[in-house]
Amino acid sequence: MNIIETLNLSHMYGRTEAVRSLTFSVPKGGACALLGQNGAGKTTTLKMLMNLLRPTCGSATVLGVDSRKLGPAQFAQIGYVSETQTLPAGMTVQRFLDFCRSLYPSWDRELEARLLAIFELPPERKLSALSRGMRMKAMLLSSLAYRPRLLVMDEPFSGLDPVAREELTQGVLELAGSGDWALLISSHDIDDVERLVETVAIIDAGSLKLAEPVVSLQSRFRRVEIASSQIENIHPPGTCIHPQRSGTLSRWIETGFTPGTEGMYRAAFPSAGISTHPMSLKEIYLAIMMKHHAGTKGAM
Amino acid sequence: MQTMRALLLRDFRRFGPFAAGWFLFYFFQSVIAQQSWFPESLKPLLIAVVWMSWLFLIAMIIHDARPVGSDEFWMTRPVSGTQLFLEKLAVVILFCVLAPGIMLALAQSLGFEGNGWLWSRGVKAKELSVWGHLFSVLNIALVSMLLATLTRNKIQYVMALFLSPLLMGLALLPFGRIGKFAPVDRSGLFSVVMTALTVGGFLFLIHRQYALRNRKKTILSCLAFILIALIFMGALK
Repeated sequence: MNIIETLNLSHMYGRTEAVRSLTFSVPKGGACALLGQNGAGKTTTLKMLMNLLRPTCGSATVLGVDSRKLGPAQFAQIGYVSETQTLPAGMTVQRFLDFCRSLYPSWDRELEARLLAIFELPPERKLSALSRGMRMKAMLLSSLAYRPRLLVMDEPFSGLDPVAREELTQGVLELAGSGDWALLISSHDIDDVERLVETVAIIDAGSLKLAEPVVSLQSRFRRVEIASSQIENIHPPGTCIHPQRSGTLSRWIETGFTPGTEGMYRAAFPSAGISTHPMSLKEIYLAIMMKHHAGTKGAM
Repeated sequence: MQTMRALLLRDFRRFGPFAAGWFLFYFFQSVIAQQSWFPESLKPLLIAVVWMSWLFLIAMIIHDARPVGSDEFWMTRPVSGTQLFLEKLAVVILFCVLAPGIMLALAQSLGFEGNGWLWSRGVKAKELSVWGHLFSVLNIALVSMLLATLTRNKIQYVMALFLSPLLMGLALLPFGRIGKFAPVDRSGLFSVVMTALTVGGFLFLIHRQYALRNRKKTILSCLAFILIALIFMGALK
């Protein structure tokens, strides 16, 4: 069963198309990251999923319910953390948690206490007096303590210091151990989401460019370096992007790497020194985005 | 019920002190400032401040959890638009309608004329009962509440407060002098029906905004409501 499913989801702000025909899904127990630049349409997508914005066309279901019909029964099982969301004014952290606790029948006080300790939130401080990082932690705590079936996070790490990022990640991982939940996180901070997700969906200019498990991406993307005195005879295959030459070294990114690929290279370039290097998710993301922006031809 | 109780408790804690402050200020204006020793020149200023702070209190209550935009905390929590509407309505009625009503009754029982605020003329003339005045206050509170639900901040709210009577005046122009629009018969069943229709209409519009969170649709509904009211009143002329 899919926790989130979208079909041709689109949204227009006036005449500007923010999201165009987005189709993707997040299965039960899955963790997916929406990656993309600022203005790519990530926040708009999440807002449509949370019934904060109405799709111009297309549809989405969240926990099996049409996103336009999400109500209290569904929100009791959904955690939403967004950098733009306002917190209730005039409350201390403790009052805020007391207030949230009364809204959720499944509130877990033990988990609340554990998260409070991880996040080191001052219970008597007013929400309005918290730093940005502290506010995000308070928001995350209030979205995790009832053990939601779905956690949606919109740019949770942006503008936070490394310690706050780590604590937020720890907080999410605390819930991740429970298994029966799904995570959808939008970010352009790839290093931070890499530890949390198993699938990435890359959005650019409102369109989905790619949706694939991280393991699959990391197994098929490789940085290839070939050293040869006859560099002019070395031509990268069709599955490669970003070919570069400098001196006797030719390098590119292989997008269709398989266990047999290196052997094929050795057969094709017998006199050359060949090395292949695994790539981080960030490097893969950058390679894909640069390819799209350069309009380079080639398989992805 | 648990959710309603949590929402009410939150608003009582948050706005209770403001409402108490306003209540004390209103007490000062309607009782203390009516003493002969109080400078006459300051009275109009006090009235204006009481009015403005009353309108501001309504905006504060509504804007604390707005039914517009997409960044409000309650929108992704297990709180329905109807629950929030009922809770806000209860808080506004308690703090901004019943509290002044108690003050009015107190002022009347103490023999003060309650000079200066909403019911001053009525109290002086002893024309309307406390309940009659409360309905007037309720209507104005509902209009203010409706405008607050359609605005994102205090500036928009103040602009809407100023523009709304202007637009209403313009809408009434085709019917001739505004004064002619006073209902022909303000007593008995007619008055009850008119009050019920007006209050019901405002409640419908406010609830619609909380439930749909769609300003465009609510504003269109408001215009339709005004049009129906004008036709109705025109037919009664």
